[in-house]
Parts: sequence; structure tokens; C-alpha cells
Amino acid sequence: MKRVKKIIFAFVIACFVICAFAFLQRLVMPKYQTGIVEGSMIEEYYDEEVPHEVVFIGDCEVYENISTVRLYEKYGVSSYIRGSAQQLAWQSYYLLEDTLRYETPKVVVFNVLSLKYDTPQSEAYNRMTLDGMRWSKSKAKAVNASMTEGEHFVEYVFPLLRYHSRIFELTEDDFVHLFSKDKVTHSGYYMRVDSKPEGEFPEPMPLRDYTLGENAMSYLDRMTELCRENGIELVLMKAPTKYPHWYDEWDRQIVEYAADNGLQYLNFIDMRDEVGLDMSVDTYDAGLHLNLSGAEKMADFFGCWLTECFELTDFRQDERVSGIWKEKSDYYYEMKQKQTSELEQYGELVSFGANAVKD
Amino acid sequence: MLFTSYSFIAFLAVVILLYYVFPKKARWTLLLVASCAFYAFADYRYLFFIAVTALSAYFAALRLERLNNTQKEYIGKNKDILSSEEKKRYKEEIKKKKWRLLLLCLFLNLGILSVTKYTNFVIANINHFLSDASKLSPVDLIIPMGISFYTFQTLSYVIDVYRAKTSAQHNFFRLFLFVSFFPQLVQGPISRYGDLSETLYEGHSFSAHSFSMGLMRVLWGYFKKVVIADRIITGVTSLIGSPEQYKGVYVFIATMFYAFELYCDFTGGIDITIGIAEMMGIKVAENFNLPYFSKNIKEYWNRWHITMGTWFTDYIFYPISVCGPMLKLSKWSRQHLGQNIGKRVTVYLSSLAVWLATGIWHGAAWNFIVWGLMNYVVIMASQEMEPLYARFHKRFNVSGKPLYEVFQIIRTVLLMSFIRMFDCYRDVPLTFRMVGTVFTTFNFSAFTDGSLLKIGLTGADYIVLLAGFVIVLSVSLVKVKVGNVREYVYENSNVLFYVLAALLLIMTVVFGAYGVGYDSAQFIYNQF
Amino acid sequence: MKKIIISLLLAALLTALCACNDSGKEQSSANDTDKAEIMGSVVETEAEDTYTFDIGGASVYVGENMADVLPLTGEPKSYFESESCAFQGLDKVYTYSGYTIRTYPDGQDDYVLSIELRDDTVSTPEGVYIGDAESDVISAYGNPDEKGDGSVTYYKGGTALTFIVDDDGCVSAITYTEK
Repeated sequence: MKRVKKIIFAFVIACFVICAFAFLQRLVMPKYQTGIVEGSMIEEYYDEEVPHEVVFIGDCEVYENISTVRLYEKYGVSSYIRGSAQQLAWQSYYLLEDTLRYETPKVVVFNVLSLKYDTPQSEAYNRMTLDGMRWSKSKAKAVNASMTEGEHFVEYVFPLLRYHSRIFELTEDDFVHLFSKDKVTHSGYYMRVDSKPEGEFPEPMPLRDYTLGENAMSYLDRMTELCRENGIELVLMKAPTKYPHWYDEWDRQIVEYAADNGLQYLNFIDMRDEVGLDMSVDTYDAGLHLNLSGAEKMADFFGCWLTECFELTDFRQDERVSGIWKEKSDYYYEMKQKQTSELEQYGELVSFGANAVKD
Repeated sequence: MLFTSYSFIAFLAVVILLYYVFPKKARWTLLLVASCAFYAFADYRYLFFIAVTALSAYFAALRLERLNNTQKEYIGKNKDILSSEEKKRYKEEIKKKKWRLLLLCLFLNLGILSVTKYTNFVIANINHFLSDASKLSPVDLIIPMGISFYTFQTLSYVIDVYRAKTSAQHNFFRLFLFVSFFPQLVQGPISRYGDLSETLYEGHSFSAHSFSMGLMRVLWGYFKKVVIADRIITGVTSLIGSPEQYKGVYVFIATMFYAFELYCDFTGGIDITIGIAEMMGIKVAENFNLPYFSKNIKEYWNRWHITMGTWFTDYIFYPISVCGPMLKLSKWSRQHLGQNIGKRVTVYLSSLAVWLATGIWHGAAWNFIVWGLMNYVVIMASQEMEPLYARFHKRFNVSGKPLYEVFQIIRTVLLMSFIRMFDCYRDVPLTFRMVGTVFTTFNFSAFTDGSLLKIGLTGADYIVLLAGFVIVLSVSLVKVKVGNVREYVYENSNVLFYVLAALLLIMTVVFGAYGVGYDSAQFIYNQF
Repeated sequence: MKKIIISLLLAALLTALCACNDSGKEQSSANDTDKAEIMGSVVETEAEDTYTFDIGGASVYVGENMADVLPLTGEPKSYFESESCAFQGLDKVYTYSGYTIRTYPDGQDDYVLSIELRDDTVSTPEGVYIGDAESDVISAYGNPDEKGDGSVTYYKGGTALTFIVDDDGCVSAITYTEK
């Protein structure tokens, strides 16, 4: 009897410790709900209830530049953007692997800018991309491929070990969003309605070697292979923004790669006029990323191209899916309205972007 | 593999698990493999050095024991035939052989220690006397991790066998385990073979009680090390790093911070060591006994780094005190300088040797030597002043009064902390100058102008440190009352014991200064 | 006894030989166990370890805090900054007459990411100008650590000094970057 009592007691203590750690971990993990919302993007995907025939994968050049709601509304294309800030090539690959655990899209569009990075870059971006990813072999591999010096795998398994010192930096968001988070994207699209015309960019730096990194390119190879195995059409794209500089030498390598592998490659820098982009109004940060009007123009063009090139379902005819997309549209217009009114009232956005970032 | 690294914690978990899975008889071999792996993880070349030390000790001890036995047998067999003169001569002969062997072993091991640790110190000092053109360049040498600790531990074994205080270990691998036992390899305690061997080789059955006690001690060690020492070190580094900026009150603060930091770092590390051993049923010698509650420096040194202190007493102080030349000197001085001075000569000289050795042992630098000598001077001075103190105590009837004891404790802590600043600033003239500013620069605004928030410590850090201080102090006070705090709590309520353990774990994980953003400081005593 | 003595002496000899650290900088020697190591603080890159570029009589190097560089450079001809994604700081580009400095943010400070020499009004401290022949580079710096198609690169510390060479064999750009 005494023994049983002891075992029960040990069990209770163990439960207490585990629950305390679980709670504290939830509490101290960054919530990415206000200002810097990029860290919430990857995990939002898991709440999706609609199938996606087109999945965009890449960094800010996808999640800020293509309006998924517009794609649906105009072409009936149900799409999702699995993108996050400075998402590196291997992270994109493993996110594609991860996506395939839940669905098999018809088309995957990969933005090629990240191929310029051949090695892990920054812990902060790693965290924003990887923390939200659900645990699987793919995540474990993504973490291993991404860690910078001083990072530890165990800190991804138990983020409390990484974020414990935030206990002194908790904000209102940490309590409000302890158990539930608000959506920050529109099927992966990050909306900005403000506008700041594209300016002059500095001269690009001459490089000693223009060959895209072997490591990064190997993940492009794996992405190509994975898509082939799953009967997915892989499309390569380069967003229309000119900064960071996309060297001609890089572009030639991608053109060659696409030709060798039978892939389509769209370099939107050369297609700005075709898309109808006016960079004096279609960007919110002087040409680095597109704003809503630019992203909708991109969606108009891309949707047309996608539906012409591939046999995609018009989900507007599907009652269940269209019902969910209706909700998405409502949220989209609600946010657009909110941002527009802030812009009118303050001349700038106050609860979105840099102004909402709390120190 | 630092104690605070994830890899060490994983390593430890695997070793402890395997320890209890292994057949009892083979458990010590697991510990040996684990110790070698632990050492090789730092640098596989280290293994060579420690193996040479262990081998030399192994052979020397076997031979010494054989000589001891030969002598015993020979005299036993022939006790009726031999005259006492012959017996004495035979003993002398054996002693000479033993002495030669011991010297050889000492020479080899202290030689390795000196070459690896002190060559560059010697070169630097020679360079002082050379012109720029003829200066010697320092050599790039490996310093095996914890070499001072394992060398001393091994030598104590050989000397004990020499003195026939302990028998030699006939299995080399068992001896190698004693030399390299991983929890204490890096920073001690310096165990004696006679003590550690009692529990080291025996395969212990799992005991929930012993395991829990060990675990609690490990957690307590981590708490002190990770929550307090690794947090406060940022402040200490800033304060001592800019001596021009931080004078007066800042030096005082740095002194107190360093005292707290070093205490938590070193005792924390030792708690982890002892706790790990205890989790496997192995008993490692205690190294601290509430040193900051000492009422004088002599007492302090009986309570701080105990195993080092006793090592120096047993293997340096006593041998020097009773060696031939010293006895002659003592006799001579008693005759010529009077009883009073005569009896002091041996103590003074032997203590000087001990403190010089202690200083040098701590590091190859003048600041450590001066630090050792400062301790020596203070201890000798207080010894001389003892009659004066006694008169003062009698006159004012303060002896044993709580308030006076608190005064004595604070006085000792302050004195020790200031002497320790030689170790902190690592520059003898600078230390004198900086400690001097405490008495000349009264910049008390440091407490109010927010400058203490600019030394790498935030308000939150100060709150954690204050809470940590209160916890450490409270536990220490309870220890004064009840002795073993863990046993006391466990006996009174084992529910409370486990709840406290859980809280300790949670607090360490949440409030620990580890991970990105913190430079997890190495245990300071790793260096020695 | 003899055997023991011989084996001990042999061991001593081997140990002494082994004590020489062939890997050079992996371990610190006793005298180097300075405060920085004991306290676990980080030693920052210093100019001596790297290739430097002279501005206003002082050496500037990749990885240096831009706050220390700005007083030397004077006003830039043009300045560009871009917010990095998710507000992780500003990437900055300072264009001066003859050279450009790019920085990256780390914490509260900006650090030099690259220095590019753009025309022949400036030169490296070793005297190489834009327009010089590749052979001038070799005679100033010796054999390159890496020779690519149209570039020669030298490494020192964690930095790389690259001379971009055009089809005519003349230096068209000089860059200081991280390795």
C-alpha cells in the first residue's frame, strides 16, 4: 500500500512539473500577434479547412506579394502561402515535405531569392519559421539544417529553454494569446495597404563568385524531385521587387535550371509592365515589398497564368469550400477597411507593421 | 562538456541509467568508460596525460606496498635474530628505497603539472630581465583539464601508500577510475583514496532515498550556479573590466558580487559533483561547510575548499614541519632566540610554504602568489593577536554574544573578499589601487543614479539575485540549526521534499541565466 | 626497480613531447587564461586580424561597429536603408566618394558588412587601385588564397579581400567582406 502511495505521489509530482513547464513554455514563447506577426505565419496553416491546389513557398517575396483572396475571388483558385521571413531554401523544402503530410497540391510555386543564402543565417528568422512548424521528421531535419552557431536542437524541442528569460519581458499579448491566437494572414498573405513609392537602390556589390550555393541548390533539386514524385507541377518565380538585388548571373542559372528540369520560371522583375505594376503606388516600403494593390495585381496576373497553364478547380462552385473562403474574404476586407481607416486618420498604419512593434 | 551544457545533462542521464542497468560487479567499469569519454570529449589528448599519471601512481604504489610488506615480513620473520640496530638499519634502507621511488613519482607528476601550467609564467618572468630582442616567446602547451586536481588526488594516494596509511590498488583500471572519476575531475573535491575507494567500486543497489538526496543536491547546485553565479558574473565582469570608471563604491560592490558569485559557482559545482555521486550511491568528500559563517580566516580556510586545505596540511605543512632541517632550525632558534620565537619558526616557515603553494596552485600568475601571501600574513597576524583578542573579549564580555559573532562573520567575509580581489583584477598593483579607492572615493550616488543598471544587469536580474541571496542565506541558516537540510526536510515531510525539488527545478529552468544571450560562464575552478 | 624507473622516464619523455600543442590555437596556454576566459566574456574581432581599409587616417574593417566608423567618413554622398523582414533592424548602405560601406544590424548596433572600393580615387593600404593590373595585386599581396573566374581573393582572420578583375585583366572593383 505504501509503495502504491509512493508511486501515485511520484506521478502527481511529475504531472505537476510537466504541467508547470507546459504552462510556462506557452507563456514565454513569443506570440507574434502584434507588429512582428511573421512568426505566426507557419502555424496558421494547420488550421486550414480548405484544400489548396496551389501552394506558394518562399520568403517575404511570396507572403507579401500575392493576394490569395484575390486569387480565389477572381479565379476560384484555392491557394496558400507557406512563407515566412527570410525562409531559407532548406526550410522551404522541409515545409513542402510538411505540407505534403496534409495535402497534395497540384502546383507549387517557389520563389528563388532565398537560393542566394547557402548557410544558416539568423536565429531570429529560424525561430519565426520553425517554432510554428508541427513536429515531424521534416521539422527535425529543418531544425538541424538551419541552426546557427550557439543554437541547440533541444531548445527547439523545449522552447522554454530558449525563451525562459522572456519571463521578465512579458507583454499583454503573452497573456491575451496564451491559449488562442488570432489570424494574422489571409491564407498566408500578409496585408499592407499603405504606400511608399519605390526609390533609388544602391549599386549592387560586385561578387567574387556568382554561383548559387551548392547547399541551397541541392534543396531546390530535392524540391524538384519531391514534386515529381508526387505529381506536382513546380513553378519557379522571382518576385517583381528589385531589392535585395537579383543578379543577372543568378537569373541565368535559374533559367538554365528550369530548362534542364522542365520547369516554368517567371521572373516578374522583367514582367512588371505585363502585370501592370506601378511601383510608385504598389509598394509600401519604397520597393522592397508590394502593398495590397500590388499584391492584387500580382494575383490577377498569376491567377490568369495559373488557370491557363494548369487544370485547376474553380472552388467558387464548391459549396463547402466557398463558404470557408467567404469567411476568409470577410476577414480580408475587414482588415483592409481597418488599415485604410488608420491610414486616413493617422496618415500611417498604427496597429500594423513597424509602429505596432513593441520594444 | 560543462556541467551546465545540455550534452552533459544528457550524458549524465545516460550514465546514471546505465549504472543501474549494468550488473553490479561491472558498474565501476561503466564509470571508468564514462570518465574516459567525459575527458576525451574535452580533448582526446588529455587522456594521455591522465593515463601517464595513473600509470606512474599505479606502479609506484605497487612497489611501495611491496617494500612495506617486505619490511614487515622481514622484520616479523627475524625479529628475534635482529638487533634493534640492525632493524633500524634495515628500515632505513627500505625507507631510502621508498623515498627514492616516491621522489621519482612526485618529480614526474609535478613535472608534468609544472611544465604544462607554469612554463609560460616562468618565461614571462624571465622576459622581464631580458632585452626586447632576446625575449623568449611563450610556448603553446596543452593544459589538461583539471590537471591540478587529479595530480594532487593521485599524489595523495601514492603518499598514503608510502606512509602505509592505505593499501595499494592492484587493479590498474580501478585506480584509473579513482584518478579520473568524471564528476570530480574538473573542479574537485580532491578525494583521498582511502575515503573514495570505500564506495567507488562497489555496485550499489538503487536506493530511492539516496537517489532523491543526490538529485536534490544536484538541483541545488544547478540553482546556485545557473540562477545566481552565471547571472551576477556579467556585473562582476563589467565592474572589474573598467577600473578607471568603476572606483570606490563600485569596487566594494564588485567585491561583494564576486564573493557571492564565487561562492555560488564553486559550491554549486561541488554540490553537483557530490549529488551525482550520491545518486549512484558513491560518497565524495565534502568541500565546504558554510565558509561565509566563519568568525576568522583560519576558520574560513577550514570551511572553504576543505579538501585542498587538508591536502596542503597533510602533504606539505606536516612533512615540512617535521623534516630534518626544520627540526634542526627549530632547535637552533629555541636555543638562540628563545622559546617564544623558536616554537614559531617552524609554524611560520611551514605555513609560508603552504600559502605559497596554495597561491601557485591557483594559477600561474603573481596575483595568485600575492593572494596566497596575503592570506598567510592575515592568518599569522591574527594568530599573533590572539592574546590581545582574548583580553578584549574578556574585558568587554562579548565572546559568544550573537551580535559580536555577526560582527566577526562580516569582518571575515569582508577581509576574505578583499583579499580575493587579487584573483579578480589579476593585477597586483591595480588591486591595491582599486581596493584603496574604497576608502578614498565615496561615490555613493552609484546606488541612486542608475549606473548599476548599466553593468549588464537589469532590474529583473537584481530581483532574481536578491531572491537568490535570501534563499541561499535561509538554507544556510537552516543548515546551521539542523545540519543536513535535505535529510531534515525529508524526515519531516517527504511530500514537502519533493515539492521543493520540483520548485527548484522549475526555478532553475525559468530563472537560470543560460542559453542565447548569456555567456554560460565556465566553473571558475576549472582553471586550476 | 630499474624497469619502473625506465618506464617512468620514458613516460615522462613522451609526455613532455606530447605537451607541445600541435594544433596551435585550440588551447590557451597558462598565461593566456586571462580574465576574459575566466569570466567567459567574448573577445571581439580586432583590426590586426583582418584586412583593413584606411579612412581618415584610421583603419576600418569588416565587423567593426559602424558607430566607430562614422566619425571618420564624414557625410556620405548618398545613404540608403532598408527595413529587414519582420523588423529585425535596418540594413544600411553608405555611399561615399570612391567607396561604399554596407552594414548589418546586431542588437542595438550596426556593424560593417562590406566595404567596396568603386573608383581610383581610393586604394587599399597596400597600394592597389581600381584599374591596376592583376599582376600589381599579386606583387602587393602575394599568391591569392583563391583565384576565381574574374577574381582573386585573400583571406585574413574572418575576412576576405577580393579584387574583381575584368576581361582586360584590370581590377574593376575591390571588396572587403566576411569570409
